[in-house]
Order: sequence, then C-alpha cells, then structure tokens
Amino acid sequence: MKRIVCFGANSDIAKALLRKLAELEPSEFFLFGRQIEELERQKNDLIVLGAKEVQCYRFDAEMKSGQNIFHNMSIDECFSVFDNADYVVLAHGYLPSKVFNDLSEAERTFYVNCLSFIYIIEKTVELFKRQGFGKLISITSVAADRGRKKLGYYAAAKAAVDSFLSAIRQSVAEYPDISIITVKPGFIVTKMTSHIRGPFPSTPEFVAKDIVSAILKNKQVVYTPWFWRYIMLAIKLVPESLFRKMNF
Amino acid sequence: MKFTSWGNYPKNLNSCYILSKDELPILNLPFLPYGKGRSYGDVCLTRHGCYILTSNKNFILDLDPQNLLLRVEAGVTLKTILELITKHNLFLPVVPGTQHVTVGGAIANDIHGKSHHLHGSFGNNVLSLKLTTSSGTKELCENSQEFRATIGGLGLTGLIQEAVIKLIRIPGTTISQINKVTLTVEETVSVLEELSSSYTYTVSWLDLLSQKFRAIVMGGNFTDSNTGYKKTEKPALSYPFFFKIINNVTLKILNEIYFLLNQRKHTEFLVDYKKFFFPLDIIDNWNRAYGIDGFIQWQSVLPKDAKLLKECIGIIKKSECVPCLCVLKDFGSIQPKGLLSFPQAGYTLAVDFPVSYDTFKLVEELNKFVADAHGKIYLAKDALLKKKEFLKMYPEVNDFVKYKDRNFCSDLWRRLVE
Repeated sequence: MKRIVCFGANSDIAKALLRKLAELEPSEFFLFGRQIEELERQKNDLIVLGAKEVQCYRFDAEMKSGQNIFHNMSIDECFSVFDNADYVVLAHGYLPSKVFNDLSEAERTFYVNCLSFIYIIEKTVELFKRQGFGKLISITSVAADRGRKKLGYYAAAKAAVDSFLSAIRQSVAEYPDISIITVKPGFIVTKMTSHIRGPFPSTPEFVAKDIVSAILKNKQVVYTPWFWRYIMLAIKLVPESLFRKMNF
Repeated sequence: MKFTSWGNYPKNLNSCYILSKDELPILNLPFLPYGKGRSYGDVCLTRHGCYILTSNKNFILDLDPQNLLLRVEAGVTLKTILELITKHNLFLPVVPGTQHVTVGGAIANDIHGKSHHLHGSFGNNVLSLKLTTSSGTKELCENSQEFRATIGGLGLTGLIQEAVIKLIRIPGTTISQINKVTLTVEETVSVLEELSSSYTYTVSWLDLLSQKFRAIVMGGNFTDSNTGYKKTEKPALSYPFFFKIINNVTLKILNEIYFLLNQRKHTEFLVDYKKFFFPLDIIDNWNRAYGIDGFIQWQSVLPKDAKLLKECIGIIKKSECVPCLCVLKDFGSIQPKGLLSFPQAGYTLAVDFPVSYDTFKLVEELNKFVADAHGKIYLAKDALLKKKEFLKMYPEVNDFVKYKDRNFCSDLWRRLVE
C-alpha cells in the first residue's frame, strides 16, 4: 500500500496520473484542489479503480508566506492531515493570460507556479527526511528550459521551480530512498491549455504513463513526450545573439 | 488540433474546440461533442463549428458488482471500463469492433456488437443519462421520449455527461471460439443462425475478392476454462504514417492468409477476449493503410432474406472496387430504443472501400438498393447517403427534430436534413 498526496488533483495530468497509480496497487490518496465537487467525483473514480481510501480537501495554491490569501487551508494544515507519504505529487499550475506588463498577473503566476511549489517542496522534503524515504513528483514544463517571449511570466516561474528542484535534489543526495522527480511535459491538451494552440500536442494519459514509469525506474528528470528533451536541448544550444532575433 | 473521422473522409480540419464543461458557453457556433473520432463518415465532424472534447470527463463514478450497474462519465473509453470490470468477472453486454470508443460515442451512435440477438444494441443497456443542453442539465430516465432521441441521437440532442449502464456477469475472460467455413451465401446465413442459438457472440468474415464466394463463420462464448491457453500481452503495433498498401493484389494475399489461418481450426479453441472482439486494435492507426485519401466503410442492414443479401453481394462483386474486410452479422429481433437507431431484424453487411470515383458510384448504387429493399444505412459510418433515401430509411427523424438542440449540428445533419 502506498500513501499518495496530490496537490492540484483536479488538473488533467494529475487526474490521469492518479488513476494509473490507483490501478497499480490499492493505495490511500489525499487530494488537494480548488473544486471540491470535482474532487468528490474523482474520489468515486479512484475507489472504483481500487483505491483503499480517498480524502479530499479544498486548497488554493495562490498563497503568501504559506498562508492562503483566500484563507482556506495553509500548507501546514495540509501537511497535518497525513503523517507520512510515499509519493507527493505537485500538479497545480496557472497559465497567465498576459506575458508582460501586468504585475498582478505576474504575482499570481509566481504565487501559484513558483512560491507555492517551494513551500510545499520544503515541507515535503522535511517530511521525507524524517521518515527516510519518499518520492516527490513535481510537474514543471519544457518552457522552463529557456525563456521565450510568448511565455514570459510562466516560463520564468517554472524555471525558478526547476532550478530549486535541482538544488533540493543535491541536498538530499545522502538519502538513497528519497527521490526528487522533475517532470517536464511538452504541449499537452488540458483544461489549462484548451484555449491555445501548441506544437506536437499530446495527452494527459501519455504523460501519466511516462511519469509512472519514471517513478518505477527512479528517474530524476523526465521530458514527456520523450522527444522534447532533444528539442529543448537544441533550443538551449542556440546562441543568445541569434535567439533574441528568433520569433517563436 | 486536427479533427478527422476514422475513415479520413470527408476531410475537415476545423480546429476550434473546448473541453467538456458542466454548462455550455454562449457561442455563435454550432457545437458537436467529439470523443475518440472513431466513427467513419462525417457524423463526428462539423464545419465552422466548435467541438466539445469529452476526453477530460473520464471518471468511473460507481461500480456495483452486485446489481450489475456501472455509472460513468461520457469520456471514458470502453477499454478503461473493460480493464476494470473484467477483474470482477463482469463485461459490457455490447462491445463494438474496437475498444477505443467513448461511452458518449457508443450511446450517440447506438452501437451494436456480435451479441445483438441476445443483448440488443448499446442503448438497450443504458438505464439513465445525464444530458447538458442549451437550456441546462437534466437527468433522463429510460422511458422518456428525450432519452429515446438521445440514444442514437448522433450527439445532436446535447452533450451526454454521464450514463448508467447495465453489465453482464461472465465466467472468465477467455472466449471459447469455433470457426466454420462456408461456401455459399445461403449456407453462411444458415450457419450464422444456427450458431446464434448456442453462442452469445457470432460474426462472419466474407472474402469477396476471390473467384468463388467463401466465408468463415465464427461463434464464441465466455468460458472459465484456461486449459491449454497461455495469455500473452502483446504491445500494440502502430502504422506510422499514411501510406496506401491496400489494393487488389495485397488484399487478395491478406485474405488468403486469413482464410488459411482460420480454416485449420475446426474444433473449439480458446482466445483472449481482446483478440476475439478487437482484432484490429493490435495495430494502432490502421486506417492509415488506406492512404491519405481515406476510405469509406459502408454498412447496411437488409431484411432477413438470403436472396437480397446475395443480390447485394452481387452488386459489390460486379464493380471495380476493392471490397476490404467484409463482415456479416445477424441482428435479432430486439427493438432498439433510439429514434434514429440503426439495428433492425435482418442481416447487416459492413464493407470497407478505399476512396475513389468507382467507390462513390458503387455506394450510390448500393444505397439505392438498400432503400428499395427496406433496409437501412448505418449513419455512424455513412458519408454519401442522399436526403431522399435517408428520409425513407429513418422516418422517425420528424419526431427526432423536436429534441435536437438548436446549438448542435454536424456535417451529416447538414447533408441529410437541412
């Protein structure tokens, strides 16, 4: 039996991933998300698929100093509902409508996509160190690899998390049973991206399959679908003098 | 995103879409729900419209193994359901030739399977529905007229959100199959009827390319015996790109191989349910083998009369077209619930044709023949039916129009009704 905690359980990638994990073995789930009614439906689904227990909590990731600005659950409260966890999944995200020149959008993007991640990652690592094992699955984006003008704030926030994750990974190097998994999906058709067009669209189910195999094989950084690793490598190798003139 | 039907004909590259929601947004475009895009013609396409993708609504809400009930959201595929319920030794009463279809699509097209003589079509096993229309969301129960319009309603009565489906109990997940070779149409039909009395699942495969008519009639029952059978999970192969390999010569060879492989098996043998029901699912995107031009699957039901069937096969054999993958099934007398449902007592023949001028001419001729013989064309696979023939085959459409949502439209509806 595994104990699985998921933040942003309503997101399409989390939905698909949790179903795969529920099918794998009977586990206990702690779901945190904004829409509690949706979570209740998800609870039914996971139980039918074989979950032993599912608990749902309303949680909004837009927060300041670990306290939710809408005054619902704080991170500490979230972590007090379970005393240990095998997997912690961070799947919430916000795609801002503006890429530049909008400070409130910038703040919101950083609160949801970056600061809340950092709070939760730190709490999780603290918990993992205490119990001596655990896997943190954190979903960032291929956009984190290099900032582009079409994804201003989003890419910056994701890049910050990305870099923080790699720092954390070093800091837990002496614990062999703790792993920090960075998942970098390419363009996936989900609720978050349903209004935009992107290259090589893929599905949440595909991403979920990749994440499960990454968990089982103990990988550190996963690009999904796999070819994004090489696309992003190529993009990273472009010299800045050329990159600044590129239009994508 | 690119939206196509499984036959890749007609082409439609409209890319406006939204994900399924609890309420419909106000938009000046016609909506059309889109699941997995596994129907063939233009029933799942809408020009200058907005698709509602149901892929995000894929929760299984409740499974009650005691009362054999399953409550699911419309975007769940049959594959997901089957993988779950076979663990409880349960099965769906009706499964089509592929497991990659959504429940919403199965209801909207009122699909049928190899067990029609016992279980009817998919809609016969749906107990209630949750439907979102322009005027709001409502629960529909079995005997309401709106429920009857939604079953086989081609996704035009609104967006199906949830459904409660009746399940059947099975002894095990293996199928005990029997094959019989037949050499005339009359013999095929009589063997098919004979097997229907002792087998839950019956189907026959016809070879219309060889000089002489030949067919293999298959029957299957679920069994709990596993003797001499090893389950092997093969990964799905994928046809990587559009490249036409189907033609007169390759198909003759394929038919010959298929016939020889199946002819040898005289006695009952065991197969996995996936191999029995979904043989083509072992190759992903097999529709690409028909090339970028695509293909048409023509499926009709004719009254129970071997003479009519023979005449129909005669028309196909006489033409220049390449009839690939011909399947003949037997429809029992169970009445479908839907107003626009396809099944009716008779023989149903499905044939794939690569798109070409000859095909269009042939299908036109066949459609006329079917209309005159009081048969029906399956709308989920149709791309070429004419308005006049449609009205003759589906007179209930006048009743159906009352329940069609004004904000929903498909290319098929534009072609046949508007």
